[in-house]
Amino acid sequence: MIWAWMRKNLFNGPGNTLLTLVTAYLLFVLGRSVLLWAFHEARWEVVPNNFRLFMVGPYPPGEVWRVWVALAVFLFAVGFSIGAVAGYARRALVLGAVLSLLVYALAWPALLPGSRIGLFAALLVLFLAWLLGAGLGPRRARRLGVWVWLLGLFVALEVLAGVPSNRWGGLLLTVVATIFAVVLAFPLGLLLALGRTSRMPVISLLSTLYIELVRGVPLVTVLFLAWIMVPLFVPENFRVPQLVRGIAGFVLFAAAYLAEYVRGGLQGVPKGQWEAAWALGLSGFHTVVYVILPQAIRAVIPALIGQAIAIFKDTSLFIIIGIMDLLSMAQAVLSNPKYLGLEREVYLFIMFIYFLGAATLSYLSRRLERAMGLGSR
Amino acid sequence: MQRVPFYKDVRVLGVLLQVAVSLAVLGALFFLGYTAYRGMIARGIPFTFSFLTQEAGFTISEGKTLAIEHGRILLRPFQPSDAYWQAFFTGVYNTLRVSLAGIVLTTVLGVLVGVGRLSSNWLVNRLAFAYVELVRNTPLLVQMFFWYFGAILKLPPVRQASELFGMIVSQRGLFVPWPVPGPGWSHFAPFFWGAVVLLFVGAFWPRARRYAWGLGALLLVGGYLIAGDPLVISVPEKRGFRVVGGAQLSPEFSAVLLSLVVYTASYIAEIVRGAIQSLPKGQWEAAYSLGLSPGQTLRLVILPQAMRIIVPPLGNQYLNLTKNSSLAIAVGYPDLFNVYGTIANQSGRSLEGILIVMGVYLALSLTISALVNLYNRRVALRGAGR
Repeated sequence: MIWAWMRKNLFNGPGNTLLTLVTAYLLFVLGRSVLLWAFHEARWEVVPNNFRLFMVGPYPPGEVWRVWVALAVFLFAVGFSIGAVAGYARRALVLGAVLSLLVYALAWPALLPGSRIGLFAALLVLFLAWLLGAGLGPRRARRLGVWVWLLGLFVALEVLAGVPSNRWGGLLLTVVATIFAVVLAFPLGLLLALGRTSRMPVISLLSTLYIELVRGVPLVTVLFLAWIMVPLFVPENFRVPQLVRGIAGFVLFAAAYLAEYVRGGLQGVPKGQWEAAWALGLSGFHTVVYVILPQAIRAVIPALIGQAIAIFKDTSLFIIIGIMDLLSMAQAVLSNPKYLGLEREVYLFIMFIYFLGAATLSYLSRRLERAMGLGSR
Repeated sequence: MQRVPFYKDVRVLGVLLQVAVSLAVLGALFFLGYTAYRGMIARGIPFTFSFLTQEAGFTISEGKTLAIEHGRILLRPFQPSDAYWQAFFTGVYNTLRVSLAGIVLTTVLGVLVGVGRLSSNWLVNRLAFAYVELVRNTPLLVQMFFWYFGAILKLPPVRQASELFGMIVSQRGLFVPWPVPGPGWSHFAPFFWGAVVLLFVGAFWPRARRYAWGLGALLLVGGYLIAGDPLVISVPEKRGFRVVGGAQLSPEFSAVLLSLVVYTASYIAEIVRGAIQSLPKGQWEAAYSLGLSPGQTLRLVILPQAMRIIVPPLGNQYLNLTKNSSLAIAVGYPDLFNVYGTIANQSGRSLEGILIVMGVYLALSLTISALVNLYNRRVALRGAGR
């Protein structure tokens, strides 16, 4: 059977056979040197030795419990939402359990005993919230979902804020910045999209100008502008934390891109929907909120999550304006004379973390698409 | 008919809302501008562009600038005695250099990977899939660091560098064979420029195209026979610790180019795949039943149709590549943003400088999207006329 499969997929015809052989040879040469390096030369001890730095940066060790509590609250909201969408689906539960075990097993050797308990408890909360969300049933759980998220983010932020934000760093800071940039950019993007599609010429012009202006320049310049400008607008004795300036730049930038996705969704809503809503006597505001936006947003959810992934990856640009995100922590470790010349190990490790985050998000987006019946309804 | 009171009239409300929004935006802009102006005065750095003509006083590792020497306008390497605007020019020059090279190379790689993603060959198919997923799910900046610090700077120094197809791959960068004017160039030049003119004539005047291009080819051959070698290929050679001949791509340039090409190609691959998959299956089957080979089908039937779907998002990727080249500051390639960083540090003109930088990027973006739209119109028109 395997021979039949190989003949069909690898060796059908002389051209394909040649292609297979050449590719296989190149893969062999490359794979061999990579594996030899990874198992013989690479000094991976740089990763566990600096694990705390990568994860939370200069967050004081005595206060790390705050991170675990915040993570638990955050995972509660995540689990609740998954439960609301997926219910008790066995495949999802098994996959979630396997993934959690994998993360736990990978992190185990690098964690201190206290942190092992913290991570375990946080993962446990994820599944408890999942069961809770599934138990409430999709209708009630979805209605509660928004409040769970808002309250959860607020509580998590309050717990973390026991330490001033200039001591936050590493993956913690990357994740916090991503979440807040997404959450704040979304309403702004929504307004801009509605403004651009509005029939009022002045509003449409202003929104279009903003969107095109921001989309025409690189993210770094917007971050820099926010970084230079914000201090000019506040009294000199009042310092705006760097993290806030960074997130402000992200929000201004991401909103323009989000607006374009939402606009795509708005244009996909048939005109008859507007007319039907007006015929029913709904006001303009109610039409948008109850009829148009739900359909428009449902159509662009994949693009919105794609934008969230882009923001997650782009937070690495924080290094350029001196905020201590995951990539900056990598640079900090590499400047330690003990770990000189270990660039490959360190960069591959943080690429792996970014990859895990981005791949998980895009997987969730595909599942969510299917759960919401996109393309089949 | 009963008149609607004005405060319930949708049209009146619309106008009022627009006036209110315009006033609010204007007020906010004025407030921001005024506060920033006062803030800058309070810090002793008034807003002005007069610094542009002052002497820069720093060096830029590569790239050229515009200068007037002996009454002639020419391009030459940047010198510390040049003015700030010339430093900006060098930055723009370097940004354009890496973006143009990147756009060409990433298109080739992206189309190859995109087609590979649809290959019936399992190995090629999976390899292309892994490439796209790995590259798209990690940040460009981290990849750039990896290529620069983890790959290029770990290459052997020039003495032990390996040679591939006449190229030398070393820690000091990539040395490639490069054409330079040969002994016959001065006599060949008139023929060459004549051929260039004819090329443009043909490009913009379709009816005369055959004659113009044919004549151009004749000119080139004739010029070669009369003048002798117009160009010679200079091949890089190792001489002790350094390399002579060829062209050097600095390690920084190579790292920026490599990371931009690899990253953008993964997005282009997905665009190409999506476009090809969106064509009806019947197109393949019809081409096969006419006896075309898979390669011919792709080249003559599928790609021309897919182009119409590909061009607009491809233009977006070209824009992204150009804007992403601003990350070059991370590895020290002197692109526009990096040069701006130095200027801002040295002159304290961060706000004026960033406005110039944003203006330049905006102009670049508009130019690229105008070019892509022009091309798109041609591709789409031919399809519509059929």
